[in-house]
Amino acid sequence: MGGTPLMLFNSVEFLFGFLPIVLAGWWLLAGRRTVQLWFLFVASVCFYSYWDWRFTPLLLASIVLNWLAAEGFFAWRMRWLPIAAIVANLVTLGLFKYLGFFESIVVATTDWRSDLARLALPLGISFFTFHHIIYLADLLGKGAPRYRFRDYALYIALFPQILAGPLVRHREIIPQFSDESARPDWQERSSRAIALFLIGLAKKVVFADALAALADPVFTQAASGPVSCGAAWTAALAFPLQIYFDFSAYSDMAIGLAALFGFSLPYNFNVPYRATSLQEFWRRWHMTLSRFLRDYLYIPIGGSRQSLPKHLAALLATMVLGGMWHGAGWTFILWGGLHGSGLAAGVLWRRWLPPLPAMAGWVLLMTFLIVSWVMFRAPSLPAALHIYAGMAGQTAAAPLGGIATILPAAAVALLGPSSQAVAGQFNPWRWLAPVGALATAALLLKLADGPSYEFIYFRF
Amino acid sequence: MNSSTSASKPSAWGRLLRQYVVSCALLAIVLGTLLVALDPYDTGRLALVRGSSVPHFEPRLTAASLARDPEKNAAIIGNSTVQLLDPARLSESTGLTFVSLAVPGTGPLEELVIADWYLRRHRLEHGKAPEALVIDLDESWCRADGRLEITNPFPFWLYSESTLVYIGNLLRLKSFEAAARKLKVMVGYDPPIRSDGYRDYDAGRQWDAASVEARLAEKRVDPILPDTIQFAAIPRLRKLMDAVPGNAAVVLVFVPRYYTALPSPGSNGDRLLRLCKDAYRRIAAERPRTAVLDWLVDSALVRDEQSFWDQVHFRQPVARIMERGIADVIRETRTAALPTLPTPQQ
Repeated sequence: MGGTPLMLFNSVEFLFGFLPIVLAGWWLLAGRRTVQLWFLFVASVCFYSYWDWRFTPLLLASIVLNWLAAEGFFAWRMRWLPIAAIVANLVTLGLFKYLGFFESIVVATTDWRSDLARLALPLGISFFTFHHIIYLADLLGKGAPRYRFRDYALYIALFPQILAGPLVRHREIIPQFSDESARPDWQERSSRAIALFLIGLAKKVVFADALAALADPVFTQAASGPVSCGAAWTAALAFPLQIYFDFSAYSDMAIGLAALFGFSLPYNFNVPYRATSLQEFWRRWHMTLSRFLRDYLYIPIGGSRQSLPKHLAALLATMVLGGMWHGAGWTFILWGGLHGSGLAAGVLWRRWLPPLPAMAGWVLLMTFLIVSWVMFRAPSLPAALHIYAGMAGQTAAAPLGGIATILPAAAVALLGPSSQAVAGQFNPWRWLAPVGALATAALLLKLADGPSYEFIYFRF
Repeated sequence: MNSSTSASKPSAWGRLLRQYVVSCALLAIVLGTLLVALDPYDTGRLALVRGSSVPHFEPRLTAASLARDPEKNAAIIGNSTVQLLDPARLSESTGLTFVSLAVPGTGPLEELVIADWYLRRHRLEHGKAPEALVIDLDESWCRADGRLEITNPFPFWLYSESTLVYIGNLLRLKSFEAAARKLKVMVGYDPPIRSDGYRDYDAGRQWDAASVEARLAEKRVDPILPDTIQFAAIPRLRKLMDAVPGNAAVVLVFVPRYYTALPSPGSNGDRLLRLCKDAYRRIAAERPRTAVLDWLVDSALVRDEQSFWDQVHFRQPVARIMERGIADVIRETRTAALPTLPTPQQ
C-alpha cells in the first residue's frame, strides 16, 4: 500500500472532506429515503475507490453477481446457485490472497519455477467476501429474506464497515435501511456516536501509534537478524496492546460513524484482556469474527456435538482457517494452530480437571497471548524465532524500553470500561459540550502532528 | 448504539449537540487565530508577534526562521554531514555573513526546498541577493535510480509559498510547542540558539575508541547498478542554480567519508561515484562562479579514525580544513571572472 493515499477514518481528507460532505448530503435528503440510500451507496463506492479505483469494478461485480445468484435461487429454487457463488467468492479471495503463498510452497518443494504475476490485494476483500458468504449460506441454511438490489449493495459497500468490519449480518443491518434517519432520538444517538468516534480516535492517536513506534522497529530488525533481550520483550509486550488499541479504535470509529447515519452495528470488543481463559478471550476479542467462525465454519463441521477427537479437530481446523484468513503465510497458520490447540487444551482441562482460579487463568492466558501474538506480527518465521530467542535471553541483554507507554496502555486495556459502556451510558450534562470540544481539538491537533500509522486490520 | 437513557429528553440532547458543534467551531477559530498571530515558526506570514531570536527546537522547523535573517548573505545547505562547518569561521575568512541551514536526516529534496526558501525570502522580503551558497553533496545526492525519497517526515508546508497551505497545516500540537518556545525566548526565560544556526554535535561528547572503531569497521555492500543511471537530484539542483543571482558563488561540496566507507577501486560503487562526480562537475561548469570541492577521496584526512564519529560524521579538525578550503574557493570565485575548479586542500 506504500505511497497510495488511503482515506482512513483518522485522515484529514476523511474528517474534513468526505465525512462533512456525506453527512450534509444525507441530512439534506432526509425524508426521501430511496434517494438517501442510493446517495450513501454512491458515497461508499467513492470512499472505497479513493484507495484504488482499479478495484471498484471488482467490488461492483461481486455485488451484482452475488445478488443475481440469490435472485436466481429465489426464482428457480436451485441450490447450486448460492453454492456456486460461495465457491466463486472463495476462489476470488484465494486468487488475490493465497495464490502467491501456495506458489511459494510449490517453488520451495519442487524444481518448478513460476512466472505468475503477484496480484495486489484489494482492500477489504476479506471482509466483503465474508459478508457475501453470510448471506448466501443463510439462504441455504436458516433461510434469508429476499432483498432489493439497493439494500444488498449498501449492505456490502456501506463505508464504515467495508474495509475492516465489523462483520455484520444482513439481518442486523438491512432492516434498519427502512428506518427514517430523523427518528426522535437522533440527537441522543448522534451525541453517543460522536463520543464513540472520539474514544476510538483517542485510542488510536494516544495509544496505538505510540505502541507501534515501540514494536515496529523491533519486528523490522528481527526480519534481518537477532534482537536484544530487552528489545524482544518490549515488542512482545507492546504489540498485544497495539493491536488491541488499533483494531478496537477502528471498530469504535466504524460503529460511531454508522450511528451518525442512524445505523447500529454490532460491537467487536469487550475488554478482551480481562478474560481468564482463551475461550472467554474469543468471546471478547473481534467478536463479530468469532461468531462468524462459530456459525459458518465450526458448527457446520460438527462443533462440539460429536466425539471428542472430532470436536478437538473441528476447533483446530476452525482456528487454523481463521489464522489463514488474517493473511497468507506460515506465521498466520501457526498462530491459528496455537489458538486452536489452546482452545482444545481448554476443552480437555474443563472435562477432567478442576477449574483454575481466575488469577491463575488470567496469568496463563496473558503468557499464551504474549507468545502467540509474536507469531502473528512477525514478518516471517525466522523473524518470530529471533524474537523468541531474544525473549528467552539468548541474545545480548538490554533494558526494556517504552515502559512509560506500555504501563498506562496496559492499565487502560485491563481496567478501563469498554468504549461502548462509556459511549452508551453518559447523560447530556452541560459540561460535556466544552470538554468534548477540547478533547476533539486536542486529538485532531495531535493527529495533525505526526504521520499516523495505518490501522493493522487493513492488511487482512 | 444503546439509547439507555432518555428519549424523553430530546431537548437536552439537542442542546448538547448544538453546544458541542458551536464549541468546536469557536475553538477552531480561537486556536487558529492565535497560532496565525503568534507565527510560531517565525515565517513572517500574517504575524502579529515578531520573533527576535530563534529558540532551541527541531532544526527542520527552525531553519525557516534562520533563513529569513536579512544580514545572512551566505548559507550552508545540507544535513548533519556539514553540521560542523562553522558559519562564524566562514564569515570571518570570507567577509560574508553565513548562516548554517544544515538539517540532520534530510536529503536533496528537503535541502533544495530550504535553499529555495532562503533565496526567495531574501529576494521577496529584503530585496537582497545572497552572495554565496555552500551545498553539501552527501551520498544521497548520488542515488542513481532516478528517484528521490525522504527518510524522515519533513514539513514541506512550512516552506511553501502558499499561505493557504501554511495555514492548513499550522493547526497541530507541535505549533503550540513552537509558539511556547518562541514566547519563552522573547521574554528571556530561555536562551536562543546561535543566530547563525550552528549546532556543535562534537561539544561535550567523549570520543570512545571501542564504539567508534566498531562503527568505522561496518562493511558496505557494493551496490547493483541500475540499467539506466539517472541522478534525480541533478535537474532540481539545476533549477535552483538558475534562481541563484549571477554574482553569487555556489560551492558544491563532496563531503569526506571515513576510508572504510569509500568504494573499492573497480567496484560498482566506485564506477557510480565517478559518474556522480562527473555529473556534478558538468553542472558546475555550466554556471560561472560555481565550484566543486571534492573531499570524497582516499587521503590521509579520511584515514585518521580520531577525526570521525562514524563513517560519515567527521570531527572538528576535518571541519577546520574544509572551512579553509571553502573560504579560499569563495574568495577566488568572487574575484575571478570565470569559474575555477580548484584542488581541495588537505
